Amino acid sequence: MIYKKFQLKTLLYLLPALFIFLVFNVLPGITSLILSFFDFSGFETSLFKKFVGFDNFIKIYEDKYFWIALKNTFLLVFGAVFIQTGIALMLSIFIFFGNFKFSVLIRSIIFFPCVLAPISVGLVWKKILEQDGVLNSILGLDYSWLSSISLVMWLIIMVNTWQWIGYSLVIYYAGLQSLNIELLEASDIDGANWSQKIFSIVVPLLWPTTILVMILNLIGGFRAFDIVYVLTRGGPAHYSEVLASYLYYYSFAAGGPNKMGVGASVAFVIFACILTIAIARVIIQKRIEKN
Amino acid sequence: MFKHFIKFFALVSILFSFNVFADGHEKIIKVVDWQSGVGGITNSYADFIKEFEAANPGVKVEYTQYTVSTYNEFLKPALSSGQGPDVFAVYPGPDLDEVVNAGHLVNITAEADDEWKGWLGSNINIPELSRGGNLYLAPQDAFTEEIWVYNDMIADLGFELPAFGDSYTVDEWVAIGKAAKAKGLDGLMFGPVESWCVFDGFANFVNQGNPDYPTDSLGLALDGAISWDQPMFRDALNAYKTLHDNGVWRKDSLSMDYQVQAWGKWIDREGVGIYCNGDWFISSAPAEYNTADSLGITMMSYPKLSSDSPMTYNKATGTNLGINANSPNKDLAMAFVKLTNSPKGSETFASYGQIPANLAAVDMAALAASPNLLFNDGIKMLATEGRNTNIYYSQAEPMKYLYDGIMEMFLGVTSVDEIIEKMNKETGYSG
Repeated sequence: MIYKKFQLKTLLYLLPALFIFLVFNVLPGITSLILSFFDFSGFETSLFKKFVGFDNFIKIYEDKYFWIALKNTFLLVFGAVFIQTGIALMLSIFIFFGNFKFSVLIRSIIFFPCVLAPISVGLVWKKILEQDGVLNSILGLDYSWLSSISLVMWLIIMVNTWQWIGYSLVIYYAGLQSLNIELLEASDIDGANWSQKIFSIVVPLLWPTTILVMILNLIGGFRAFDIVYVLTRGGPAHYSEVLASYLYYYSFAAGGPNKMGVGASVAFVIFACILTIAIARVIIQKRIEKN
Repeated sequence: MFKHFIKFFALVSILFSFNVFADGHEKIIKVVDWQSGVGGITNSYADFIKEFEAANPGVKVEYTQYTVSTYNEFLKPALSSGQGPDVFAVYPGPDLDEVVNAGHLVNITAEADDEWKGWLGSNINIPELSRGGNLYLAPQDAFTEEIWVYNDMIADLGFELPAFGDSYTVDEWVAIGKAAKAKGLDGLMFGPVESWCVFDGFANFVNQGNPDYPTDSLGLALDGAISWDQPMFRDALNAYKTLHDNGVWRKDSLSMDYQVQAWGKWIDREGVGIYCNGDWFISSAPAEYNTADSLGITMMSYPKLSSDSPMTYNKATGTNLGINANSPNKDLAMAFVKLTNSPKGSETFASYGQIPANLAAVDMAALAASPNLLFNDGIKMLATEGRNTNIYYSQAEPMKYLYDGIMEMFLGVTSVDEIIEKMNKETGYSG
């Protein structure tokens, strides 16, 4: 009887959060998945009027811009997971062990872009990178950075990294502060040099923090939309589309295809990618722990 | 604990009930469009709302403007959830098909009274606003879509302005572009991220070279009824390629939109001309170039393929309002839209520099003699004889492939031949 009362009481406490989670996360996700099998322009009141089976998926499979968006998404994720994480790690180690006088100010300056709205960041960098922008003025060039197919995604990665590196740095800094200093003192006694201390002791000890930062950056990379939308709108000619902006193009863009069913199938692809990576991470983590 | 839960639930219910009581006292008509930034429309609607509310006590009109780019982000969820506004603009073309098919729009032809039909005049038969022979969108303002140039900049570069109604050729624009570039300027500001900027210019080029005009050859090609491998389509693509490859507009244009970036940079005088502009911006033109006794801006049609090409214009209606067929205030919504189509409504538009769609309802000669010189030229351009280009098509998929093809051509990734081949394939032309 007491056990049953406990369960009911627990459920009641959980109910509001569970309700919000179901209504705003699970239900839209299921609806989106089902919608990917229907032809829906976005204007009809009935979402599930015209069943088209796998046509939407076939459509994106045959669309070269989907593959460009997929490649760009993985490029952005690669940039976020490895480049952003790597730079944040090195910066945090440098600031932590550097014992700088204005360490707090330096960290605040690096963290500052994180509190800005991505749209504001995108607008500022657009002004810097446009053909008559600040960068070309400084370099004395007339180069169209954002209209270059080969460079545009790397510029987006650079802007994204610039904005979010402070977030990763703050997490790493917290990890460094929790390190066991005695290990480093012991390595001093053993005659280890700085690079040995960093790469053989500090970095391995920060591995759990690194995993956390990589996961957060991976999720952020997959969700990137505003930076791309503001900087390039997925252009030039869809060559900087990522999956999120490609989904938007199919679903909402003015003069666009008006096919939210196709947008939903792109959303499913994003979900499948993240799910695959999440499952892989759990499997790898378990194997590491087992070993 | 359960008592706390009941108290919380009761509090939430009370808070929600305030919203219900608040709505009971006055009727609200919601009107939306995408004309954010168009001062003439904003001011005209302010007058309409004032007049309508005065004539209908207890009725409030809430008017919201979005931008072209973001409009569907609002409209689609609103309509599909059944919470759509009472009156809303719809992009002619594929969007109108979808909205009509979903049953959201009042059939104006069937439901308008005789007075309203009289005011609409021949506009009741505008094809791009109609489906199945019935009008679904009430036109508000009319425009010629064209290029505007600063007269002093043209003179500075050593060129003469063409006669009114005429335009520069592609080659002349190449020369202007080179001269402008030497002075650190752009020949044309261009915002191709907004796909209609690319498509409408293409339609104009095609119409210039259309040997079967007034047959809508572009429409037939989009339907796959005729081949794309014809001089009129090749010439149109080559015109675009020539303009882009010769730097008439900056390479950066490929990432620029029209409404904010291209227009904004033209206002800042970074370019001599603004491409795919229109009379909708008469009210937003720089005032110092549109004074009572001196007009420093010339409007002209899209570039001519050659000096022998026939004058071809893109004339259409701009804001086109539909009435929500499921609106609880349908009669009031219809009355509001009818007001905008009245002769007084047309005068209101004109007073704020917007060319009214119902020109038959106003004194054209008086309109064209207003103190707003750019507005006068807009009226004259609308009345200028020449080939008229259809710019509103419903074939969304082929238009998408055409736009993507042209943008890739600008990037050097695809050729004119490849675009032609792809268009024949995607439109299902079988020869």
